[in-house]
Amino acid sequence: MNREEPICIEMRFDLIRKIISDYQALLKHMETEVVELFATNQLEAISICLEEKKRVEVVIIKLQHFVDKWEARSEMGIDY
Amino acid sequence: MKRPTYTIGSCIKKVFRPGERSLPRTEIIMRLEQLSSYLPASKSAEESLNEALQLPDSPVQAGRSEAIVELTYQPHQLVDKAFQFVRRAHSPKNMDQIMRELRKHTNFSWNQITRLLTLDKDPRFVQYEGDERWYLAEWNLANDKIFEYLVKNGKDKLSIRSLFHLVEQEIKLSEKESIFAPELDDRFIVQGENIYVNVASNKHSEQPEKEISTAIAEVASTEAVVEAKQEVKEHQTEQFIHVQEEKIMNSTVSVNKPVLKEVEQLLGQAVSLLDQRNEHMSGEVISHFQESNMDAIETLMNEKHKNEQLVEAIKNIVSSVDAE
Repeated sequence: MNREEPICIEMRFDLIRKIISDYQALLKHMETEVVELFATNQLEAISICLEEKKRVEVVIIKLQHFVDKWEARSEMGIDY
Repeated sequence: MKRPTYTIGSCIKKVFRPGERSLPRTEIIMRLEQLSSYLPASKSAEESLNEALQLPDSPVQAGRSEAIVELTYQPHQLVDKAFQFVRRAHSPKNMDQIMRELRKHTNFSWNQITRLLTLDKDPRFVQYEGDERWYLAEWNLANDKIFEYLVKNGKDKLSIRSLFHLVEQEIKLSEKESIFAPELDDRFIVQGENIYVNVASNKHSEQPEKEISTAIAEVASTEAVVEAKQEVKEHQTEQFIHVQEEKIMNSTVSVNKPVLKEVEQLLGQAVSLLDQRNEHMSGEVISHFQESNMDAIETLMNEKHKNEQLVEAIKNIVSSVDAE
């Protein structure tokens, strides 16, 4: 998304969903990275990677929770 | 058309070579595919493995990861005794015969024997479909070779007496131990002293157990002679058994194979096994990573280190021996 462009409020949940899927892709990428690190015996780097993974997972859960909570309400609001 | 087919559990046992305790799943499937002529026709290698893992007294179980399958067999002197008994007799034995023998020569009670003698788990014992008797995994079936010989030479019948000569002189079976099980094979009909080549091979041959045992005992002695020296050729069955015992005492591997070569092969197998194990680790790393299990990754890396050191050491030994 172009940074100049203002965020379209109707698209906010789609935008978050896009962020979630980007994070998930990042996790997937980290798996390959870990395999490479394992092959080159970099235990320390794997540990850092694992911490990062945990952080990303928490963010994903929070974002998902946000979408679940507010998207339903906003739709209710529109119907009303 | 009936052919000797291993039971599912026995197929898996045949896959493991002596000394191997665990194997990557993919390796087992590959080896099972090579054994396909002894597998039940309707099943793929993968299906057979999955089925074997579900058996109540399965010889195998999933290892630390699903990608590794390991033997469940726990050594016990009672099972060793059963193994020695069947090996000495060089003919398949049913559970009742084995138990009677063990009862005679050990102090174990019936109850203990029944509880401890789980041949289903022991990789040294195999069974064929439709035959309750236990065979040894180290025996190779001579059925194909005998059938081929008879067809090639236009013979439709074979007396049990002449099997002796045939197996030794004409077919020249390998130094490895063999067994002939005509009653499991629609290509043969055992009648009295003779074995007939079954032309209408869809017929089912049903022979009294006694005759079949005679046939097998006869072949057993034949095999012993093939492996023993020429002088003992005309001896009686009891002496053949004696010769076989000697052979067993001397060596558990085949006598005629140079030991050095065998050891080199085993070392080669060890290296490839370790390499395969290391290759399989990447899958495990991913699953540990997904579970955020750093300890498991660390353990796995230690294992990898050890494997690599071992591979390196074995290669060094082999190359230094070669250089000498």
